[in-house]
Amino acid sequence: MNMKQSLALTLMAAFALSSSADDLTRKSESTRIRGDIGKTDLTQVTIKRTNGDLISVPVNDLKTINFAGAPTELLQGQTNEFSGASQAALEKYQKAVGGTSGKMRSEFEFLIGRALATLSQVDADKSVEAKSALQKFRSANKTHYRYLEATLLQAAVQAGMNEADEATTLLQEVVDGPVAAYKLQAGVELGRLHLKTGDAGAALAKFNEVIQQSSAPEAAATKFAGMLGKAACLQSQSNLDQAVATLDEVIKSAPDTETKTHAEAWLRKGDCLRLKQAFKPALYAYLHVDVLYEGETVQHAEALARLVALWQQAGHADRSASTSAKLKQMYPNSQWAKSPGG
Amino acid sequence: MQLSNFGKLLICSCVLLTSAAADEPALKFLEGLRQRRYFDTALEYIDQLEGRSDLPQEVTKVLDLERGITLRAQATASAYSDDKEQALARAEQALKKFATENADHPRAAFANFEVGQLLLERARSTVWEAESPAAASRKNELLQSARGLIDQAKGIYQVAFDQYSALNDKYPAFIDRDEEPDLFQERNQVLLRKLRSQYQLARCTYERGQTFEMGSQERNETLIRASSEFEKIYQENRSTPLGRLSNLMRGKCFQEQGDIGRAVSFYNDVKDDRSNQPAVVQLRAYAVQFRLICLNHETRNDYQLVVTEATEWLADNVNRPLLGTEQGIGIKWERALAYEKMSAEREIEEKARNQLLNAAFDDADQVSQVGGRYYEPALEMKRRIGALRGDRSKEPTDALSAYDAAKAILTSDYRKAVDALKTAKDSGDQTAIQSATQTLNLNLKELGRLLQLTLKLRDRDTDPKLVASARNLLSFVYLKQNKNLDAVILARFCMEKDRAVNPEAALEAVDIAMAAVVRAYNEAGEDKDFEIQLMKEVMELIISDYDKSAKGNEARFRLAKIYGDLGDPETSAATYLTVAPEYKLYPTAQIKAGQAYLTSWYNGLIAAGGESEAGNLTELRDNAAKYLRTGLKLARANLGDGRPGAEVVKAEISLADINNRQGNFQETIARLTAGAANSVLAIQQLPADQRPATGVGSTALAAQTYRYMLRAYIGTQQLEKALEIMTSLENVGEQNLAAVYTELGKQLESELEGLKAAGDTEKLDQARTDFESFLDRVRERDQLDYNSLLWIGETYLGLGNGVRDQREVAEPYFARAAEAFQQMLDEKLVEKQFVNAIKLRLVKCRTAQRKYQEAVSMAQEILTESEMLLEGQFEAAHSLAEWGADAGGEPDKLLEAIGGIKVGEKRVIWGYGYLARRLAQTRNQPEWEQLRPQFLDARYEIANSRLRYFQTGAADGKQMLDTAAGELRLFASRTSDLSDVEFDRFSGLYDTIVAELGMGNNDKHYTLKRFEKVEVPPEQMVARTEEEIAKDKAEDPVPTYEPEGPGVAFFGVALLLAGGLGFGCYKMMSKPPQRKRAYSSDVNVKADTAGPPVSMPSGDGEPSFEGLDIGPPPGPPGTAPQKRRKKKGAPKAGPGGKTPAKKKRPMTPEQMEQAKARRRRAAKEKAAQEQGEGGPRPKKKARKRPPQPPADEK
Repeated sequence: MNMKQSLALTLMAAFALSSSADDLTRKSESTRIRGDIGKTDLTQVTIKRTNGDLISVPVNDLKTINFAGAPTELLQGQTNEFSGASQAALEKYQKAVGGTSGKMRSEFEFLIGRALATLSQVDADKSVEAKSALQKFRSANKTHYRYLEATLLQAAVQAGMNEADEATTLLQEVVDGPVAAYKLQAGVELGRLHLKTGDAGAALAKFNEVIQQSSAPEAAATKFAGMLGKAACLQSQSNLDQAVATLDEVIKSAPDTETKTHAEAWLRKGDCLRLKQAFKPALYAYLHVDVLYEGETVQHAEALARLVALWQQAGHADRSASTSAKLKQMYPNSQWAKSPGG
Repeated sequence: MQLSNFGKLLICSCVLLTSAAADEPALKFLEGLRQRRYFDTALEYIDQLEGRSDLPQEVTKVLDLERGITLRAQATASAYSDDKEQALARAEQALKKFATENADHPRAAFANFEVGQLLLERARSTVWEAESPAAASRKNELLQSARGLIDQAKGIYQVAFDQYSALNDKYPAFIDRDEEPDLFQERNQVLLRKLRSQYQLARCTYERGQTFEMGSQERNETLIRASSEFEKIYQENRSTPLGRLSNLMRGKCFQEQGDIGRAVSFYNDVKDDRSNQPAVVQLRAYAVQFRLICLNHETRNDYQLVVTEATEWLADNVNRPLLGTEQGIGIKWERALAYEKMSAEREIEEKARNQLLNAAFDDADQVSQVGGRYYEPALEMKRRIGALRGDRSKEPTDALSAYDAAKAILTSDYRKAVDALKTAKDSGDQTAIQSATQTLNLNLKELGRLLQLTLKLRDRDTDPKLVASARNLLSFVYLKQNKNLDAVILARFCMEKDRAVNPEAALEAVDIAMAAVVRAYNEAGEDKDFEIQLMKEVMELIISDYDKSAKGNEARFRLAKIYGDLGDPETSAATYLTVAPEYKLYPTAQIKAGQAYLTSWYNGLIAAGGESEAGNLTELRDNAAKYLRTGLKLARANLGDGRPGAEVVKAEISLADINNRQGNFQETIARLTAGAANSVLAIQQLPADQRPATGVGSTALAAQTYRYMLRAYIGTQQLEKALEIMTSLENVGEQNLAAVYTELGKQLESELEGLKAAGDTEKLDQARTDFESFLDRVRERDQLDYNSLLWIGETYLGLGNGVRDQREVAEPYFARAAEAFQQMLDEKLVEKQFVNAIKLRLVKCRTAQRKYQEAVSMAQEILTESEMLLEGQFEAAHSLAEWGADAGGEPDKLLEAIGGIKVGEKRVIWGYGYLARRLAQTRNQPEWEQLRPQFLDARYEIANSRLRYFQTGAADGKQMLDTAAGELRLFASRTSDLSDVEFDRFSGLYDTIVAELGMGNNDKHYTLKRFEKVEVPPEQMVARTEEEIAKDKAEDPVPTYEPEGPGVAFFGVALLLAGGLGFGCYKMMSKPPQRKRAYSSDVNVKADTAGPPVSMPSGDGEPSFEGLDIGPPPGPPGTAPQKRRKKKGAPKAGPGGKTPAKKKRPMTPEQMEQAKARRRRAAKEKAAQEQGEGGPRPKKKARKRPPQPPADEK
């Protein structure tokens, strides 16, 4: 038996033995905090440890939360989600939600919405369902600790559905909200929306604002998101060299653990180089996503689609064909698999 | 290992705390650093100590010794053979320095002893390297080298032994321990050292035996001798640890001869010694391990006993400190082997069998986690047992299992597939090759899949070292699958990110990154700018991260070569000079630096019009000479009295060129004749039919050697020797001596021009005098044959051209040259196919003599018979141009030089204009590469002739000048493949024209503009209709040339057949260097930076990938290699030697359409053939290239 399996068993045993205890984990560190979850609101979750200590966890730092007596599908689904298997996670959540109530049920409802939102990024067919699930959750849980996160997710889904105005309204709600980290994140999303609607100037201003406000170490992720947004603006304004320089800075500075950031940076660098008609360097940039960041499915699908055309141009028809097959096999419902290059 | 923050802190703390004190425990501190294996920190600390003045002398005196000890320890700890070798070399240097400078120091003998130790260690490393499959072709050479090292070590120990024996003899026979305790101790120390020396001598004999094949007579005899030497030590020192160790070694001697029974008897004594003294515990570990190896031997098969004894040893607490040592791991490994063997016995029950297999697996698993020499066999055992247990069919569910499965395939199935493919290729059986290739591909695919699975299944608990190994291996798989860019990406990532957790994997990734990027370059199409930039990035990264290691030096080598290929020889030279002195190819680096400076000097000479003292040319020349000399000195020191290889020969020739140009003829003679039978001259004096195609003794290299010798002998007026050399040159076996003499003439011309430009009248006059004397001597020969007259003619021509500005001096030379050529014709000494070539030489002489009418008439006569003689057409146009430009000439001749001369309706003399058009028609033909320089010359001369016409003051001169300017603008903007140097040439002419026209300087409107490419995005690269293509052509402003007369094919063949005197070669010699293909990833590179006009030899000896089996990528057998086209010209270096702005040369839309059209036609033909509709069009017969004068070996 390997370490992972024994750990899982230990966890499950521990869970079984002390099923009366709640627990949560934070994004900022991996240790699990056990106790009784007490007061929760829009900004934080408090948990009273078994030794009596009271810990407040900001909502933006909340990774997982489990309630005493929760079905095993909760833990399993979370594991699936974090390894990228969102469909498997969704199935588990949907299977379990019916038999729950109260806080546990609302958590499941949120998780279902989140899984659907993730899936909608590579499968547009899931968008409507995602929007509906998140809207339903939000309507019923306006002061829930997951409310703002759900609002951000819904904004992203609706942006993907080209419902820019509605998305903007949702994001503005988060900007006006009480959680600083989510405000910054909403700022990034607003910038992206501006860009999508063609207002590169407004987008650039928004991204610069986010970058400036993200100087603290804990806001590094938002800072890089802002820099990526800025690069996208520069690209749309045809300042390709500046865009590439910004992306290179992200690649150089972002921690290795920020795989999504790296994947996005390489993907956009490939776009800029392609627009500069530097096709070999563009191919090389896209290839980074395929070779190093395959787990970032959204970026990976797009990178594969670009690679299909570029391999062909580079005279490697065999690589083009195999990349196309890979794209169709891994992301059959993705827009990229259906695009001419895919 | 870089200086860690901890190390820095340690050093700073020590300095701060004790800087005021005189008794800083520096040496103890150093020892502490060594014990903790902080070798880099220790070396840094020693460097710091050297700079201090406040330390006691007893510390400062031994710093070299401490450095040597530290480096030796670092070498022992290093897993990578190149780094180990480098550290040992530096250790040897430091220790020898200490021993030499401190001969009377009490520790001098110790230093010598240490030198002996590290020589032995180097010998063992070399033997280990010889055993690896990758070094199979060099095995004998490596073993010979190991023997050399052992002999050196033996010499040192013998001296030590003799010294200590003599010292020992000075002591009284008996010393009372109680009454004279100091003297007693002192004598004991001497005895101990004497004993150690004696042991090491025996050890040398033993190690020497290991350098011979198992079972061979030499091996057995040597081991027997070793055994006797060990026995003597043992007999005289039975009770001492060294004595007992010697007895164990006696056993090893028998074991290595296969005499297992006898070997075991030697081990038992020590094995059964139950003392817990550390020395005995260590000895016992050796004894147990050696004994277990014997018990496991096929002649004993005492597996149960192995298990029992191994278990007992492993369980004994007193051995706990030794569990992680080589002996501890070895004992566990022997137990694993025994378990496995026992499980295979027939009578055993299933349950017991499984238990034994599990036990073997567990032991092998533990052994494999430690690494070292048992790592691969342990993995192989795990795979075997896994297969037996049915583990193989299960898909791994975690990263570790996936990785183990991948490793099992790598060490077993993959290796077998590689061997099978090699065997199949050796046999030549195509079916077997195909099958083996397929198997190999399948193994690679599965390997890749499992490694990707490893990376996918990893989680927070997965060992980062394993993840790094998986990445490294996956990059290797990509490389073998020819996914070069994928391999570069992953290997780079591994190099940068995994270095901290798994330095070995990161170091292997360096090899892969290098190989992949080199292969990507080689396989790239015409536009290699991206690949060059990528190579630079990878090499710079390696240099930055692995600065002091062998890999860093190897990367420096490659980076230097890249700069050379980019046409930046100065930066190339500077990069070669950053290669560390301890790197094994340091002498080569120095030589290459010298040759790069030489190239830069040649380039500068061309640019300065031969003025050798212009700008920094002198510095370049002096640097070239300096580094060639340094490199040769080191290379020759390694060579001893041995025969020099191609690298040394070429370097000597390069140096000879410099020396000759500077008038250092004696040095040329001395260097090329030094070494008697192994001199550069002597080893190339072979019969013509025994000359190899390339390398030492080849026609090209021999001819170069003779040419420089000839010049040197002429320069020293050793005319008889010069004549002998001339005869040797004639008999060297060259196809076309005419080209040789032409080259000599050009060489002379270049030399005189250089002297003239430098204002060195004295040397100029001396050179002329020397040659005149020699030529007189040649003329005195009884019978002047073709060769002699040709030589005389070419040399006088060269003399004349060299001083053509001094008409009164040059005229007699041209006259004598003409006489010689005329004599050749009159006496019918010329073979029919060369008659026109000689006549053209005569035309050249007449033109130089300003007998233009005669020259043009002769040319016309020749061309009336042989219109297609390219050289003749150029010579005729040149004569006309000179006639027109001459002060007393006829300006209209310049127009004829452009437009040619017709006789009736036939254009007999084509002129530059028609020449350019006809040459342009060969653009899509194979000959284009060779004819392109002439095309550019013709285009240049059109405009130049118009300029010269204007300068005669002709009435319509300005109109001509306007035309010239327009022609140049059009030409430059339409010609996509002009290199920077070529463009500069036309641009310079344009600037002159513009200035003559009185247009503004530095005005951008009056500068020549280059071709601007328009790239077609990939999404637009779809098939276009015929109508679209036709429409584009109609609108295409690029002029096409209508052929007149014979077709292009005929033209091409005729042109080339007419090159009797290698005119093409002659003209090409005055062109700037061209970029060549750089590398192969696993073999010595033959191409080098292209040379200047006169023979530019280049070096060999590129680093090869040792230890990494990089063969050709698996692919379908018979796959044609991708055709590689040479890129013309080289970009100039920007400021600071940085790469210039990227210059792209993609296909134009027209070219792309032409390529597509060709493919469509080919497909139609094939389809028609298959359907039997009138059969395929007959294929064009491949045109054979006519014999060419031998090119200089590059």
